[in-house]
Amino acid sequence: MKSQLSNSHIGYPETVAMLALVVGGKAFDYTITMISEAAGTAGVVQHFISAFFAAIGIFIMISLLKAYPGLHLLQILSILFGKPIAKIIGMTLFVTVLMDTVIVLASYALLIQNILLPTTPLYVVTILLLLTTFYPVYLGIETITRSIIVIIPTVLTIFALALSLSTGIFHTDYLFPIFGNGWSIVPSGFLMSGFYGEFLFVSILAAHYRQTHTIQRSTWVAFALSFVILEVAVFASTTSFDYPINSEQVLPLYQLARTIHVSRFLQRIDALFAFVALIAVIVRIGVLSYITTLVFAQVWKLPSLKPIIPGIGILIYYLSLLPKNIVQLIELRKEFLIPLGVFSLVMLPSLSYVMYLIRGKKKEQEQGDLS
Amino acid sequence: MKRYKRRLLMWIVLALFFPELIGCWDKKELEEQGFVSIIGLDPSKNGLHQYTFSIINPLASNSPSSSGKGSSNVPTSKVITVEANGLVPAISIANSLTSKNITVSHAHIFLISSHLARQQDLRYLLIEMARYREFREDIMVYVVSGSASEFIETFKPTLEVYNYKYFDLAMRSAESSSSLFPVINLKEVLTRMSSVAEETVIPMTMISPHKLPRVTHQQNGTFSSESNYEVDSLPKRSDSKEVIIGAAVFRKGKMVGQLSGKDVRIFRILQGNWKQFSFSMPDPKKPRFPIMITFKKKTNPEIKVISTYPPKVEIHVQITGTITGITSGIDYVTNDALRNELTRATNQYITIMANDLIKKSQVKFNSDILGVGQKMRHKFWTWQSWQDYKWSSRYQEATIRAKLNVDYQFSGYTLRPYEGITQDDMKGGTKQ
Repeated sequence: MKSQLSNSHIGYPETVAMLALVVGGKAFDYTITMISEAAGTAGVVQHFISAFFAAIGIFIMISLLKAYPGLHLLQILSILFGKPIAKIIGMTLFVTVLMDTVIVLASYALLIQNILLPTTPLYVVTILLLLTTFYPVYLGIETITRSIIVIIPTVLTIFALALSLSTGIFHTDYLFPIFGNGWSIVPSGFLMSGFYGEFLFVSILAAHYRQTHTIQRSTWVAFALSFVILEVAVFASTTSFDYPINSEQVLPLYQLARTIHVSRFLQRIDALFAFVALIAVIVRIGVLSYITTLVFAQVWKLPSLKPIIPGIGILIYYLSLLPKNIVQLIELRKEFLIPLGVFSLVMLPSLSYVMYLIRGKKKEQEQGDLS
Repeated sequence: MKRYKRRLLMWIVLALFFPELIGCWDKKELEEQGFVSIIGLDPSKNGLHQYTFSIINPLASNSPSSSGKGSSNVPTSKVITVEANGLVPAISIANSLTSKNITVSHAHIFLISSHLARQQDLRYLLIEMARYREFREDIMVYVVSGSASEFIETFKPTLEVYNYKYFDLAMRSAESSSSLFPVINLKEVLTRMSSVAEETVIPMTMISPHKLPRVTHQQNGTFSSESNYEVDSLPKRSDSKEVIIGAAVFRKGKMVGQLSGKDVRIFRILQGNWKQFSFSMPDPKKPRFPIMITFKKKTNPEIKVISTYPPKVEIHVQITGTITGITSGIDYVTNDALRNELTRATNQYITIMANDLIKKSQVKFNSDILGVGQKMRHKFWTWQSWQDYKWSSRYQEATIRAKLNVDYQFSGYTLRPYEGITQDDMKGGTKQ
């Protein structure tokens, strides 16, 4: 039962590259600061807790997809909860992904404008970012993910290079006291599992897979890769800036790249770092925009994405101009997006799976009664 | 037709990217920029600060000369001092005093006046400066004994065309061989100043008026160390007056004292932030005569927290030593017993120096410059319990002991001192 929308296909490498960049790409922005702020010196430990809860969500999501092979999330939800509830959940997901796209676009436009292009108007930076990302959206998820496969080795190499060059300024003492803000890192760790919310894209794109059996392996590999990227970034940031300073950095890894000095001949690699971060964010906005459009099309069972792409693009553009400053964007992400990420990745698959089990038992009972 | 439409769309999208290539509104021409190499910070009246900018003159680089000026007597830098409440307002005022657009993105050196450092808590001032997008945290920081603006105006290095290069090269030399002053950038200063687990030291520099007196006959006396000088007491004879030696000690963002070059060497050994340096110590057999030694870093120091209540810490350091000169003529190289005695004496000598420095940091400065607190925090589970411990107020009462061990491995190109000299000198020594 393949959707008409699924005319472009993805597989193992595309999934790994896409999710590793969309989730791991958060290492380039203030996600790390949010972790440090919540955990104190225990960012590394708290991120482990977040990853643990996210892994549970992913495990349940994969189990659900295995139970309904070839169907995407909204089709599964329709079967489990009925069409009206599936539509409501679908629209909630649409709003979540839309807000994710808007917040990422607005944040990066603001950061690029303030750090790299201070006299260029914000709307110009936003338009340029949006145009760069929406053309690939027009070409489809296959094109986007294939481009990521080409880009990701460069991004990861420069990321690894920047971090390995900064090992000289790492102070492992800054990791102590090891449990930072105490027991509160457990609930905040659970909440921060919302950073992995984009793994739900696997279930939204389930109908796009060439072979459904690749979903499980590719998702876990992508999860492992994104976990390593984020964990290394949290480690680097925590060990480079002591806690009081670490929780106030807008872009900790960029700040770190600005201080790299290797024997006086290799320095100021922040330009390279900014370039890589820019590529990562363009691709990230591309994937998010595509998923936003796709969820909308899936909810309203539209036969094609192309007619609604310009509309969604304009919506994203205008919404991205609404937040007034970076603090508002950080707060929006903290108060709105992260809890919705937890709902999407952990709670929704769990509820659906419970429903699936109840239905399965009911079916067994019905079959037993009939026989 | 559909194919043509797609191509047209592609070209339109590509055309929209062209403004990006020239940097949109942020286009900058290189010759319009005034690159600041040194920034100076001094106190001023009415709560303002004096900011001094030394702006590089690129025209001077064509033909370097040793007079601090480039070809055709073109000055190598332009110095502007303005009064402002912060760095960014100072830049905008300074922009009205020069044709160039002043940028601090390539500034190498940041000089803070000792007057300001003693009067004001620098934490807020520096953290706010680091907010500015152009201001890079890898800028090297120095405290000037006296006025920073006067230093920049007077400072004319003789062996380099540009003034910042002097600091760059001196820093390299300090890192690789002299260790007479610490090397620290703004990021480290900010991190240490805002930390509850350690305090910072910043190297000191000045235009020194002290001159080494001309002496016509050798005076013999007791042993004295050549590195036991602070920045404002180092005697020298040179055609340039600038000096970098020792360090300013800070506590809670304010300068509370100074370390001599000798203290800084021990400080760097205890921190593990050094490579090697040469120094002299009194001969264990004949204390009037110096023994010249080169110390090399063997391992990182091991800081052991014995207990937290009461705070008790031990620091162990392993050093590799090379004997580079024995003026007493005693054979400390091939004679095992004498070599062991030298090793014991060296260990004792530098351990005493290290413990003196620790005592000084506790009693005189009450400032954890060695970062002992960074190891103490390992003993706590949560940030709150560490905060409640109030390390900075316990530092003075902590028992901190250092133990330094030297392992002599080499003795230069000579084994035994020349026998004739040894015998004569030994006789002289016994007479005393």
